[in-house]
Formats: sequence, structure tokens, C-alpha cells
Amino acid sequence: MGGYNLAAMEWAVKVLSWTLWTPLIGVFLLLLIPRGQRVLACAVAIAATLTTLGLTGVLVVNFDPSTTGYQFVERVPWLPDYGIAYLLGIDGISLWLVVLTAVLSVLAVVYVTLAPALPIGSNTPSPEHTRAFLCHLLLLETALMGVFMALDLVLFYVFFELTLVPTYFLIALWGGERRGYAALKFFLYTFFGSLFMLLAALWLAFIHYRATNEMTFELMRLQQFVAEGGVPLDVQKWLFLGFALAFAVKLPLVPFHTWWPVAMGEAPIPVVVIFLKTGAYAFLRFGMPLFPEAAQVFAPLGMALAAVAVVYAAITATMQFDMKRVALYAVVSHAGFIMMGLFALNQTGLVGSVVQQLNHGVTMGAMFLLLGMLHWRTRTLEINQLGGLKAQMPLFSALFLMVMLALVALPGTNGFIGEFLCLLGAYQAAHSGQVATLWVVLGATGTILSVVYMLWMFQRVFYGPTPERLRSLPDLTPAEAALVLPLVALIFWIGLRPAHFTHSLEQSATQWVQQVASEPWRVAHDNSE
Amino acid sequence: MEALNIPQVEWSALLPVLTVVGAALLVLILELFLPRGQHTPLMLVGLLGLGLAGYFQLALWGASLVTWAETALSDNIAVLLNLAILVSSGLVLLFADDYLRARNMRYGEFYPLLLFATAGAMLMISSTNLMVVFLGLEVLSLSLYVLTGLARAEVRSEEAALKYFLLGAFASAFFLYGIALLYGAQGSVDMRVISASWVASMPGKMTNALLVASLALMLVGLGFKAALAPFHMWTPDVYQGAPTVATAYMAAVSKVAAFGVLLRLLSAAMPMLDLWSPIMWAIALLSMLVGNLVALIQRDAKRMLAYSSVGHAGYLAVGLVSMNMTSLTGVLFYLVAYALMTVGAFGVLSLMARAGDATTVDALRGLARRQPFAAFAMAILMLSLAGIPPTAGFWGKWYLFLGALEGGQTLLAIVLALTSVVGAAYYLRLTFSLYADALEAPAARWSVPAPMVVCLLICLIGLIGLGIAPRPLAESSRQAVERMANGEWQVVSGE
Repeated sequence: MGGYNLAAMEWAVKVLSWTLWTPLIGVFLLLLIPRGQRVLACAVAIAATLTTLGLTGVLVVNFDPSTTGYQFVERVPWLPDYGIAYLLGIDGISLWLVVLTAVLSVLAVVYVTLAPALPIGSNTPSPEHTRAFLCHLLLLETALMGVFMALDLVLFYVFFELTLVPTYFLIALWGGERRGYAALKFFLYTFFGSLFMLLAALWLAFIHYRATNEMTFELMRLQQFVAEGGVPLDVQKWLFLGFALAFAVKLPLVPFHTWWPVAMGEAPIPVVVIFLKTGAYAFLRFGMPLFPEAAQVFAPLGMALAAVAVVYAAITATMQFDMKRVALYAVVSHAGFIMMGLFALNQTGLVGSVVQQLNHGVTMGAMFLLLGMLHWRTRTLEINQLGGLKAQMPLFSALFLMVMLALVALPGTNGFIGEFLCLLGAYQAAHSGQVATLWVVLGATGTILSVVYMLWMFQRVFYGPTPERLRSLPDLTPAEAALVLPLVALIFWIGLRPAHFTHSLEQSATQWVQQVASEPWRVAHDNSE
Repeated sequence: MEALNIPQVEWSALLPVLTVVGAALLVLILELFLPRGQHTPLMLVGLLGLGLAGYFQLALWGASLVTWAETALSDNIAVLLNLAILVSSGLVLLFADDYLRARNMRYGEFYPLLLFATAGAMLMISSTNLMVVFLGLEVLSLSLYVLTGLARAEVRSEEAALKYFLLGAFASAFFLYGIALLYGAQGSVDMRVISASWVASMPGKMTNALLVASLALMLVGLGFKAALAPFHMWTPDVYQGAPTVATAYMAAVSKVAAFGVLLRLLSAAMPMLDLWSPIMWAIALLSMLVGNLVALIQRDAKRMLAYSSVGHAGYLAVGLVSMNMTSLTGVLFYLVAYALMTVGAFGVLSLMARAGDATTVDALRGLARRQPFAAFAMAILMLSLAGIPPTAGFWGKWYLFLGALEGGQTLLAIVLALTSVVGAAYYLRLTFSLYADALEAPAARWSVPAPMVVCLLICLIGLIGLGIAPRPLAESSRQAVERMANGEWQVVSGE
């Protein structure tokens, strides 16, 4: 167990808190602005998200990749009687997720700024309601940041639940036709799941309390307690299942994914863009390191589920009639890859799955932004209502093509790195006999299937005859293109120089593997390299 | 000639109650001299009285007094719950006028009745002598019967009042019979003696039989007041039929008072735990399930909140069954939070008076367009009732949940968690209907009356404040429970 980086604490006492709460300060500033002042509201929100991004820049610059353990740690007692603390910290894994959240939030806010005035019900806030929309968006940013920073189980739960509230309202107010149903389904599914996590966390804290007569919800201490054999394997299995249920719902992992296409299908685009994979992160930060033995027991099952998820969601994506829904099922399919990498329980798999989580934000973020901009113009994303866009919108088509190729994991793009490492990790696990090779092979077919659904969609939407009503569609404006360009740049940056990003991951990943993988397994993994 | 021996009394223990009674009498007299419909002075005097009472009550923090020949007491539990009662009453007083005027119910007796009810509720908590508790219960109940039927012109209100009165009278009789049997068994009406001669291994013993019957009868009576299933049947009709301001008051105050007494009674009956805990277990389970599941299918917001209050009573009962420090802390914390949430929620519903007082979920549609602040407040209140962090409702449930696990009541804890999800469903459905067409063309704006704004702000700040910093209240609750458990009493009497 690495300790805290005390040297960094000296000066950087509050950097994490500032990063975390700056969006919330933005919310309060927004509330001071009179209603209907759209431009001003957008300016404040952009300023708030840019400040947050700047603060994450401070984090990146001062992050010390050579040490293990958490950095920038802040600890304030919250409910000391129950050992609950406001405990924040990041390591190489959460660092990039925090940065990515900040980047995507900026883009989401700019997207809202660029949105044209559209009639109500078109998933875009009208000028009068832009302020309210941005308030929810910024609150969501704070909640997501909190999820990636919290190192106390209760604090984590609080942020995990807090993400539901603004998302619920964003869907319920600005969602599509079936927004009421979608918002409620979203809330209840994820709320239901996370209660089991709370139950498991409490149970674990009680076991710790009985053994040590001290109540704590601190991740590191509980982790050490379990590692020292404080929890028998039978109990560990139940606890792991409690955590896993919450995270699998959130992920979304087949068969707990049914809320995802419904909720996000109705959700406004900016929500889909910044609604990151908190589920996968939670698995790797809490689920597996807390209960390594249980994770190993369930690894074959998890791998099987993940592989089935990849294929099942890919096939479902092929059959969708709506571009947004194709992309949403692609997300579910990619979540399967992330889980394959995680359940490999080795370094390659872990790095792959973290890269894949980043990819999800980058590639999917760009994809949804583009879809949103298309929706502004066509007012529909139904595939059979579109066609021949290539001739109408060359710039849009080019950008879309690049993003799509990243999504199908073309070498040279980020998707290739992520999926390749995930599959390699999974194969290593299979090689050492921990999981069945069948599942890895099955999962690998997902890369082919993704080409099927993506290219088929591309073909139908961008080529062929142009329907009458789509003649004279305006191409992307320079501002709109500039919104997507940073993400496209990231696609190639990660794809061509992954080391820039994985460098800071190395130590954290190594430590993670040490915590999670058992002795013989590590040996097998080392041999295979 | 021997001097008359007057027991030494400590006035301060009853000062808060007496202040409220004084204010009630003053308001009663004042009303005679005011022109009809002029209620602002009544409200101000009432608020002043409640504020003073609150001040006296706060001054008693930390004291553990038993006085008036052991019929009155003041401990931290009493201080905490009485303050919750005082705040709830004050909030209702604050916003009631607007509702009464909109419904054309300018009856000045509303104010003294409300204050008397408050005094009764406070009295219930400020004694372990069951006769005094009964006295408080009756003062509270009688005032509430009248308040329920205050909308004289409406059949629904009259029906509710009659129903409440008949069933309430039954419940009171049960409670009184229980007290009588306790006296028969122990020769005392102080609840602290309830288990003094209880011997678990002797089921055939006469006093044992009396004690069992006594406790059972008292549980029925209090279960009625607390709206615990299966004694909850009156709740939806009365909550719906009563004027909304009266509902707001009764939902918050009766619950606090009834659970205050239950808390004391069941802690005193600790040696009989094996006997009553299965019963309370069943009551808790039933309340959580019935309340939350039936609330799910309600179309009227008042009925829905009524059933949900049964569910909340069930959560509180889980705390009582678990009977440990954490769970009792949770009961106190939850009661305070619940009082704020309920008063606020019914307060928002009382705004509907201007739209014909229809409170169906459909009628609430578009509140966000008409009165955005009220809708926003309602949304937060609903989230708190559903137990979503960071609101007080979350921490209340947290302590109850933790206490249940600590007390080995795993099944109840799981049901608590699951029914919370059900609860979230109907609370969010209500919230959604407020915002359903919030984005349509702007409707005519209605201003939210200033007193209501103040009231809602107090509720929101309180709930979110407690959500972010639950510690002060949690600590106070814990201290209160610990003191009661240790039985540190400073008896002031002249013997």
C-alpha cells in the first residue's frame, strides 16, 4: 500500500476541492443572472468550466507519475463517529478521467452555446431556459468529479447518487417524447442498484468494526483490512456482488443495460456527452481492489458476461433505426470491452480498460456532439429519413468518418489501442487458465461487428440518394467544427502516442495489479510477456 | 397546626408549554376584539409565543429535570422534539393565513386551536407520567378534530373530521385502558415502572398478563396517532379531507409527538423486548410495504403523501425495533427532518388553494411555470423525502438503516432500502408532473406569498444544511438518547 504523497500536500492542499467545487460556484453565479440572458449565462458557464479545466491542468502538471498511491489527498472529518470523512485523492487512473470530465464539460457547454433556437421538444434548451439547463449541467460536472475523486465509501455514494439528480431533471425537462418515462426509469434503475452498494459498504464497515472496534469507510483502510484476511471469502463474494450490481447497472452491462438506451435515447446530447463511465471506474477503484479474492472467483463469470455484452449489444446496434440509438448500443458494446479488460485482472488488461474508458469519453463524446449538430439541421436522426449527406455536408462527413473509424478501432486511432490492450489482457488471462478462451474469442468478434453496424449506418446515411427535404443542408460552421476538433486531435494523439497517457498510469496500474491479482496469476502474466 | 406541604416545583421544566398555552389564551381573547378576517395580529402573537417557548426550551438543553411530583420532565429528547414541534407550528402559522383567505375560511379560531394543539403535543413529550401524556394527547387530538373540520362548507372536510374523531376516540380509549391496566399491575401510571415487575420466565403470572395487555393497548393507541399500519386507515381520508394547512400541521406534529412517546415507552419497556419486538417488527414491515406500495397508485398528492407518511412511520418503527444508540439517534434525527419536509411539502400543496384547491397530480402540472420557486422547493423536498443525498432525508434513513443492521434486523434494513426505491418512484413522479410542461409557453405567473417564501426557504436551508452538515443534529440526538439510556435524572421535589 502506497502512502499519501505528503510533499504534494503542502502546497496543493485544496486543488482537488477547487476543481471539484468550481462548477458549483458557477451554478451560484448563474443563479444571479436574470432569466433569459442567454449569452451571459453561456459566458459564465464557459468561464466556470474553463476554470475547472485549468485547475485540472494544474493537477496534470503537478502529478508525480513516479510514485504509487493517491496524490493531492484532502481529508476533513465529516461524521467522525462513523468514520466518515471528506476524503479526496487521485491516482494515475482517476487523473485522466478527471481531466476528461473537465474537457467534455467545456465542450458540452459550448455546444449548448452554439445551439440554434429550436422549437420546444427538440432536446435543446430555449433561450429562456438556457440558464436552468446550464445549472444542471454544471451540477452534474461537480457530481462526476466527486465520483472520480472520492476515497471514502460514503462520500463516493453521495456523489454517485448526486449524479442522478441533475441528470434526472435534464432528461425530464429537455428530453424527447417519452422523457417522463425515461427519466424515471433511469433514476429508479440506478438508485436501486446503488442501494446494494450502500448495503454492502455498511456490511463491510461493520465487519471492520467488530474486528477493530473502529468504524471507518475509508477505502484504503478497508482495503488493507480485507487484504489482511479480515473478511472470509464467502462474505467477500456477497459484498462483491452488492458492489457489482450497483456498478453493472451504472456501466451499463448486459443484462442490466435496459435503462441506458431508453434514458440516454431521450436525453439531451450534452448529457450523453459528459455522462461518463462512472460504473467502470467504480469497478476498478472499489469493486475489485476491495475484494480481490471474490473478484478472482467471479472473473470467469464477469468475462463471460462482458463478452456476451460486446456481441449482444453490437448485434442490437446493427438493428437500430436511429443513429443515436446505434451509437448508444455501441456504448454498451464498448462497455463490454472495458469489463473484459478489467476482469482480465492483469496489467495489460487494466491499462487497456482505462484507455478504453478515456476513449469512450473522447470518441463517443465527439460522435454524440456530431449527431447533435446533425439533429439541429435535420431534426431527425432516423436512418431511413437520411441519405446522401456526404454531398451536402463534406466537412461534417469527414469528421464523422474519422470519429467512426476510431470507434471501430482502426489502427492509428485511440480505439485500436484500447480494444487491443483489453483483448490482449483478456487473452493473457485465458492463457494462464483463469478464464475460458472461448469468451475472449467471442469478445474479439465484437470488433468486426462494430465495423458492420457503423459502416452500414455510414453507408445508408452518407451515400445514396438525398431525400428531397435534405437538399441544401448547411455544412458545419467553423465554430461547430472547432468544437469537435479537440476530440479528433485526442483520438489521434492517444492512437499514435499512447505512452503520453499511459505513462502516468503505470505506477497506479502496477499497484492495482498487485492488490487484485493473486500470486500464481501474476507469475503467469509475467511469463506471457 | 401543621403547615400544608407544597412540593417544590421547578417551573422552568414546564415553562415552554405554559408559554404556548398563554399565547393561545391571549390569541383567543384577542380574536374577540379584532374585526373579522383580521388575522395578522393573531399570527404575530402566536409566532411570538412560539418563539419565546422555543427560547425557554433551548435554555433547558442539557438539563435532566423531573419535577411537579414526577409528572413533568425535561430532557434533551424533550428539548429536541419540542423544538421540532415549535418550528413546525411556527411555519404552519406563518403560511396559513394566505390559504385560509383563499379558501374563504376566515375563522379566527384556527390560531388558538393550533397553539393548543402545540401545547398538547409538547406536553406528551414532556412527561413519563401516562396520565399527563394522555392529557397532552387529548388536547392535541381534540384541537386536530376541529382543525380537520374547519372547512365547514365542505362535505369532505366534515366527513374527515367525523371519521378522525370517531376513530381517534377509539384509539384514545385503547390508550387509556392500557394505562388503567398498567395501574392495576404496578400501582403507578408512570411509564418507567412498566417493566418493573416483569419476569419473562413466568407467563402465567397475573401482573405479567396485565402488563402485556397494557403495553398492547397502548401500542394500538399510539400506533393510531403515529399512522402505523394496520392502524393507518384514517390517514388518507383525513389528510385529504382536512384543509391543507391543517394537514401540514397534523402530519408533522402528531408524528413527532406520537413517536416521542413511543420512543420513551418502548425504551422503558426494554426488559420486555422479546415480547414487543416481534409485534413492532411486523408493524414496521407492514407500514413500510403498505404505505409505499399504496402511495404508488394514488392520484391525489395529499393522499399520496398520506400513504407515504405511513411508510415513513414504518421507517421510524424500524428504528424503534432495532433499539440501539444508532437507531434511536436515527429516530430523533428523522423526526426533525421529517417535520421540516412534511410541513414544506403540504405548504406547497396549500398554494393550490388559489386554483380551486385541487391537489391531484394532474392539477399540479405546470406549477413550475406558474410558481417556479414553489416547484423548485417541492422538488428538493421530494428528493429529501425520497432520501437522496445530500439532503437531511438521506442521513435520517442512513442512521435508521445503520441502526437496523447494527441491531441485527437485516430483513427490515433491506425492506427499508427497497421501499425507498418505491418511494423514489412516486416522489419523482410528482416532481415530474410539476415540471411536465415547464418549457411550454410561459403561463401567467402567480407570486408566491412572502410568508410561504420564508417558510420554504427555512425548510430548504434546514434540509440541505442538515444534508451537508448532519453532525450537529446527529450529535445532539445521540446525546439525548444516551442521557435517557443512562437515566441521569435530577429529581426536583420537596419530599
